[in-house]
Amino acid sequence: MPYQKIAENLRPLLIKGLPKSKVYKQLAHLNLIANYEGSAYRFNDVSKLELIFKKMNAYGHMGARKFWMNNLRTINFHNPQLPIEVHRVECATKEEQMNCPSVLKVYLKDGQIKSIDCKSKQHQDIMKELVELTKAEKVPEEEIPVLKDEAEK
Amino acid sequence: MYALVRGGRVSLSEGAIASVGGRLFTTSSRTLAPAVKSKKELDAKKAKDKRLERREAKKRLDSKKPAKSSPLFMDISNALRYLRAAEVGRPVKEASISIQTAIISERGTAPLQGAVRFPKPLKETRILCLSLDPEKKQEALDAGATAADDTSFIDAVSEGGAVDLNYDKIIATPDIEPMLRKIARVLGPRGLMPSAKKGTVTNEVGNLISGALGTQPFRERNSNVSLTVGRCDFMDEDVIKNVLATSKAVRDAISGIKSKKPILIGRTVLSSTHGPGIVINF
Repeated sequence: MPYQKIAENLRPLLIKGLPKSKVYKQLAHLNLIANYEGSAYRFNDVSKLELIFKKMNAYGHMGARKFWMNNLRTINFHNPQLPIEVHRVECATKEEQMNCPSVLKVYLKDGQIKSIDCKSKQHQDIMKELVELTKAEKVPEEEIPVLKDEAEK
Repeated sequence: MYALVRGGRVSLSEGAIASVGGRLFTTSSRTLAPAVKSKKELDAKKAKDKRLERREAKKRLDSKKPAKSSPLFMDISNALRYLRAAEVGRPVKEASISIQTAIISERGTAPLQGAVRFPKPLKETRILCLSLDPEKKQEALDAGATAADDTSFIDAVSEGGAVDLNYDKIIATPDIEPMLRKIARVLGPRGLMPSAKKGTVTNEVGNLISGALGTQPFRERNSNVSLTVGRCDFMDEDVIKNVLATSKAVRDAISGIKSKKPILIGRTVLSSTHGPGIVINF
């Protein structure tokens, strides 16, 4: 298939407010991976993170999905050795959908398992709770790589 | 009647006078005057050709620039850090890392194609070689077989002991083949039984194994070569080795093609299923 240009108003708005230029947009994407707002933390006391939520957004599962798409990337970027599991549950009937949990399980290094309920919460709030629970250490600004165009510098 | 019939026989191509059931009629082919393109159209075509030519020349020039000059350039281990982060929480099989290389060649040149043999294959094929000849066994191991064994394997299986049968293929040499019938009942249902018909009983062990181990074919499409070189759970070194192997294979394939202008390699992008594309050295 040859490349077809999509009209501007038909393009899916994945992340709003990024620059229009191809290269700048890509740089912005990469910088978002390295430093999503308020999630550049190092989790020294955590041995594993496990996120469970439903496949479709309805009934308060959107926050968990957003947390996965935005915050977990940055957490993985700064904690490459931390295993992160994501389980997306497929629910057929409405009853199952209502009962399906939306939980972030935190396995601490001393053996404790704590969980954060993510139902009907926004991803920023989940992140704040996680930081409070694990007392994570913030990554200093100068250690976060920021990509820039040569010409811009 | 005004139509004239000379000699009673008329070919359609000549005068287009035909007779059907006694009636006479004529047909004439519609002749169009050759389309004369207006000056405007000709100018537009010329300008388009020129634009294409200029674009081609720019591509050639750009490909000579080092990959480092791109604002999206990174070294592979750094790029993998970003890709792994983008691929967080995805199933291992889904999160594959691929490479895309632009190939700049003259129009009309045969598309590039070849095959790579990865040092770290994406899917490991386990092959067992059975032979009485120690030399053959060594040859098999050198070619990449998982294990090589002789009659002791057959005895162990026929006694019903716990033997590792986790193989995708068993290859045997003709000298050991008659002894294998003892354990055909075990190997047969698993599809592992070597037979001459399947081509798994042979003396050329090395060739067979290196062929069976699987080479990844690649082909130029839309002047790009793209290939899956790894998964997100691979080590950095493994991915780098695979990228180097691909680079070598592509260069080999290029040297085998004849064309007026040399075929150039453009920029190479490392990407993952859900991740961004990052320019790397190739």
